Formats: sequence, structure tokens, C-alpha cells
Amino acid sequence: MQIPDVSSNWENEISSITIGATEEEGGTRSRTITIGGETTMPYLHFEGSMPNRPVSALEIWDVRPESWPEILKEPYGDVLGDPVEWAQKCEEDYEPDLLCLRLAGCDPYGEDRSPEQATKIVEKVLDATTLPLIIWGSGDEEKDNEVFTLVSPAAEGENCLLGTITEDNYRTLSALGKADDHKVIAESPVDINIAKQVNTLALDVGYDLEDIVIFPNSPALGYGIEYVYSIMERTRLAGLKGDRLMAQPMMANIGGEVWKTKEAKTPEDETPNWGDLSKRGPAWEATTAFTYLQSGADLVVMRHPKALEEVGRTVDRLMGDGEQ
Amino acid sequence: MTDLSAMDIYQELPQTDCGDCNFPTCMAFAMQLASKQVSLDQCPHVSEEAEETLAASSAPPMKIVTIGNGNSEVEVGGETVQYRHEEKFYRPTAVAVEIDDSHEDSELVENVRRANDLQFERVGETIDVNLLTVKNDQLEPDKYGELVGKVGKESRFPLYLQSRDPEAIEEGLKRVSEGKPLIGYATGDNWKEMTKVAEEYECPLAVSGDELSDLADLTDKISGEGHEDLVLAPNAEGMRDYLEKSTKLRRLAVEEGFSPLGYPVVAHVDSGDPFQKLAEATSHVLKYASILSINTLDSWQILPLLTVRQHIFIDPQVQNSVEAKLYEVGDPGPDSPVLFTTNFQLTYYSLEGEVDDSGFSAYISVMDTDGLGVLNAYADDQLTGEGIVETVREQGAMDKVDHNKLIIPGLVGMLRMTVQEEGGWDVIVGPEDAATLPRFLRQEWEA
Repeated sequence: MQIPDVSSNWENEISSITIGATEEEGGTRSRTITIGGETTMPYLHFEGSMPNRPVSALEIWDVRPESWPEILKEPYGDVLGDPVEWAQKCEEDYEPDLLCLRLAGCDPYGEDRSPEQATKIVEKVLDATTLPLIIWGSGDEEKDNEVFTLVSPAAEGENCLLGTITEDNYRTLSALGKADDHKVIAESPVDINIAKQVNTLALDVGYDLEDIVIFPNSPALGYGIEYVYSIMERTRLAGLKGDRLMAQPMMANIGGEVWKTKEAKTPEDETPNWGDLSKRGPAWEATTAFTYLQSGADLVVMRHPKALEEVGRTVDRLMGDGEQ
Repeated sequence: MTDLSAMDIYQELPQTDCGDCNFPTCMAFAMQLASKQVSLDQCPHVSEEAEETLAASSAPPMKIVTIGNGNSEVEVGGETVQYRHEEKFYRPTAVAVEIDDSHEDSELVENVRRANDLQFERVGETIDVNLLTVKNDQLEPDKYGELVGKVGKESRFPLYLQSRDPEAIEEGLKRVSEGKPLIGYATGDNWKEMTKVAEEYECPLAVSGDELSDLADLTDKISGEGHEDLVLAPNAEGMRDYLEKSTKLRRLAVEEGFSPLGYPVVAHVDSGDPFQKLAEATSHVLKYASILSINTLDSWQILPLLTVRQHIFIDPQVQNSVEAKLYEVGDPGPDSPVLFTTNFQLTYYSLEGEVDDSGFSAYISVMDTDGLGVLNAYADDQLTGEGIVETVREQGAMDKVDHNKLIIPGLVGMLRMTVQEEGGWDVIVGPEDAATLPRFLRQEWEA
């Protein structure tokens, strides 16, 4: 029987972003990572192209992550106290596409480390590793502006991805990103209109739309994931249909959300019918990532090495590479 | 296809509210027709003229198929959109766990009981496996039939009998004749025999084929024999190929109204690796499987899978709310913080998650704001200082603790004075964003 052709033709292409710079390009990374560039919805290779494989980063902290559950600390062991060793271990043992350094130690309610201290750590991590780097602030807007004012120029030439700019705080980081040639993460709180607004604001202050990665927040599986799943689908559809303010690659911060949930960290003896925690924890993280990959995530930031590994294998399968 | 509104459809109906369609009124029936959830032939009194006018627009683009009978049944299909934000996904993917026919009796019964136990409580709902797949890998038809009988006796779910041998299927059906299991597969080679068995026992039938055109040829032939309760089981080489096929099938049904493929889809998880099984199953639930058969009985895989299903099938047009009451997070005592928030599901669960993460136990007093978040409820005048005081008092939140401190959301910090004066408490303005609550508590909290 003749089957009607239901392939869609999209007008627009999602922008591509390259993170990292090799020596030839003025940096010190061994390779660069490019994301985006799609001309179709996720993994529909029959009607368009996905020239760049979605990638994953492993998250490292500048301070010992006391709040992480045991099951998440376990694979890393002693290196958690030293960001340089930690970053090296990630790079050598787990082979993520990128590293994501979170400057949690700068949190004014935490250790309140100075911009100078943060800069030193960024420099050391860059020295000791070769993968492209995401640098993520503490989440305190005022402090992050102070910290990035020193960190951004110190990482000049490395073409990092810096985060985040928000609706209320975009000027400083946009200006730094532009001056020092970094890419930025545009964050919005589970709201597609604000996602668009942040891009508009960045554009207004002269930041290039082609250098933005959209981060619409990423609630964990079971905690509102469906909102952002649909926001990402709508964003990507709008981008493909020609809305330049929505045609950026998208990212999800998986580990940061998942490891707060009780499903990922409650031991089996407290919840016997939830199954083996040593598998359930990474499974919760991996499944959250699997879900966002299907709604168009180009970059996922992960914490558990096992979850990272499974995400990589799944992307291979969806791209049609490797073992099915 | 042109879509008619419920009102347009109502004009064409008899307007007698006779109830013969199983809906109380003609308008109620018209609304179901407009959202393509029922077909017109449920009304025995519709005029020929009306039938012509309504035929094209009223046919559900994807058939609804029922598996099982009476108190143990599951409805699948009837989907109308490719993306959930366009409307919603109607019928949650029926998850089938697989039992193969290689087990000894005792192990078999044990496995069926384990499957029966696969249910969980999440956000006030029970989430559950729905079907039990009995695979015929090695047994002769009569032995397979006996095994189906044993499984049928123990299982609390309808069954999915899986064999390419119509004789084995028939032997199974003899033992669970009233159970209306899903049976499969009908292929190009065996479809006649399979159809005959499906007709005799009035069972839904899964058709299998490599190409979409093979599936369409089969459904055309089988429906030509009068059997319409079909589901589609496309064969695929891996996740990429499956996603292509399932996407095309969904579009053919809901966009093209292509009736030979307007049936629910059943997906089978192929991978042998435990994590990749979960990856595959997650993709199938998200991308268009109405039934999913997976070979595992382990909670660590089933719980996340059922959670994906639970959330992706939430109606995006409804503000989801939690019950307005006093919640206890962790094991709170007289020194624990008391927090206040509204009953938007996402608001409450973000707050609960952050409290959990902070290492503190706490009481959370949740106000009924019709499922609006804090800022929206405030803008809508549903969240007022007086309302906060009334809620916290009615729930007796401050009676639980020895201190007098109430933390309200930072987004409504302007209500602090009102609440303080009316309630007589020491009101603290918390952070605007739940994510910063842990560090706020660590820094600020003192009973």
C-alpha cells in the first residue's frame, strides 16, 4: 500500500555553537565541542539533519560537595576535596565531552570565597585538563558578577561557556562574554516567554544570539519535568519555524536537580519496594537526561559517571551510531 | 480534515438527550466527538444526512482499543496530537512486563507475583504496571497453553500473549477465554489464522511488519475480515529506526487521518542491557507507544519508567495542584521551621525538594489557590495577607512548634506586615526562589 509522505520541511536551522579553543585557535584545549545546527526535531534523521551529536558534561565543584549523597560521592572518593584532581579524574576515567566547573564556594551563604580565589581555581583546572570548560557561578547574582569580572578575562582565549545570564542580571556577563570571547548560558525559570525575553535582552546589549545556549531550567523526573519537556519542544519548533530568538541550542542541568530527589538518594532499607539504590540513583539521573534528550537538549550536565556513560550510549543509539 | 466544534456537531444530533450513546446529554456526546474520543456510530438515532455531514470530521484518528475485561482492563490509543502541548496525550502507555516460557513452575508463580507487586505511590497517585506479556519462546503449543493458564490464574493484569504460532495462541486463549488478552503477532504469513482466533475469542490483535506499508497491507486485510481491534507492532532496527517509524505512524494517524494506520502502537524493548532497556523504554513512552512491553521485574527500572509516563501524560491545560494542607517534610519537631506556600504542584514540589535537600525537617502550610503559583495567585488576588493567616491558623501550623516564626515566600514579601499584625507571629521573608532555600535556612534559621 502507498503510504503518504509525512516528512516535515523546516525553514530554519538551529544555530551551532562551538565551545573550547585549541592552541591554533588561541586556547589550550585538546579539542572543541560543537552543538546545535539541527534542521529537524530531535533524531528525526529522515527529514533533516542533526550535524552535531548532543553532548554531556561532568560537573565538578571548587569546594567539597558536602550536600551530595553518599552514593554520588562514592565513585569519586578522595578527589572531591580537590577540584584539580577531581577534574583530572573525570577527564581520564569517565571521558565526558566537556567539564562543568561550578563555583559553589563563592556562595555568600556558603564559604563566600573571593573572586581571586575562584580565578585561581579556574586557572588551575584549565592548566590540568584539556577538555572544553563550562564555568557556572554560585547562583548569587551580585556575587557572580564580581566573580566573573575576574574569572572571564583569566580564561580569555579558552572560549568557555559561562553561566548564567537571567532576565534580571544579564548586562555584566554578556559584556564579559563579548569582551573575552566566551559563550553564555541564558537561564529562564520554566517559562518560555522569559526564555525569549532573556535572549532579547542579551541581543539588546550587543551580545550575539549565535553565542547563546538556552537553559529553561530542568526539573528532575517526577518534579515538573513535563513542563520543561514541553517548553523545550515548543522552543525548538519555534526555532525551526523561523523565530531567531528561539533558534539556539538548549541545555539541561540534570545532576543538580536529580540528586536532590528522594528517589535518587533514599536507601533501600527505608523504601524496600523502590529497588536497589546503587542502580536507582544513576537510573533516575539517566532517565531524566533521556527525557530531555527527546525534547531537544543539545547539552546535558551530569554528576554520576554511570549516568553519564548511559547517556552517551543512548545518544549513540539515537544517532544511529554504534551498537543498537 | 476539517474540525467541527462541539456546537456544530450538536446541531446535527437528535438533541433528545436519550442517553443511548452512554453520555447523559447530546451536548456531552458532541463534546467527546469534537475531541475525537468517540465515534459517531455510538448514537443509534443519528440521521443519514447528519452522518454524511459529520462522518469526515468525527472519526477518531486513532482507534481506541480495550485489552482485558471487566474489572481488569486497560484502554489504549485514541491519541489526537504529536506534541502534548497541542492538546494532551489521552491514554497513558500500558506497560507490560514480560514473562518467558522457560521457567519452572515455582519460579513462574514467583515472577507473576513480583509483577503483581509492581505498584508505587507517587504524588498522591498509585502508578502501576498494566499488562503481563507471556512470551512463547520454546514451548510446544499445548505446553504454552498450560503455562498461560497458570499465569492467568495468578496475574492481576490482563495478558499479552506473544507467539508467531496461531496454534499456541489458541491453546493459550482456551485457558483464559474470558480474559480478552492482547494477542500477537499477525504477520504476512499467519494473518488469516490469527484473525480467526482473534475473532473467535474477541481479542485485540497485534500486527507486525518491517515496513509501514506491510502494516497497512495487513490491517487492510484483517479489517476486511471484520476484525477492527488492532494494534501496530512495527519491527525496527534499533532506537533510531524505531523513532522514525513511531513518529511517522503518529503523524499518519493524527495529521493525515490515514485509517489503515490509525491504530495504537505497541513497542517492544529489545536491548539486553538493564540501563539501555530503560533508555529505550523511556523513549517509547515519550514518543508514541500506546503499549510497551519490557523484560524486567526490577523496581529500580520500573519506578522511573512509570514516573516518566505519569508526568508526560499529565494534561498540560490543567493547572496541577496538590492538596491544601499542612505537610511534614522529614521528621519535624517543635524547633523546625514553618514555611508557607501555594498549592501549584510545581511550586510545592520544588519547595519540598529543597527542604529535603537542606537537611532540615520542616512544616509546610499549603494554601488552596486553585493551583496557581505564588506570584500568579498574588496577582489574581487569591493570595492575600489575610488568606495566609487564615490558612496557617486553620491548619494549626504554629501549634506544632515552640517558636513563633513563619517563613513566607520572598515573592510576596510585601505581605509580611499584614501577616505579622493579623497573625501575631514573627514573620520572616524567605527567598524568592526555592533553590536558594537550603542556604537561606542554614544561614538564617534559629528557632
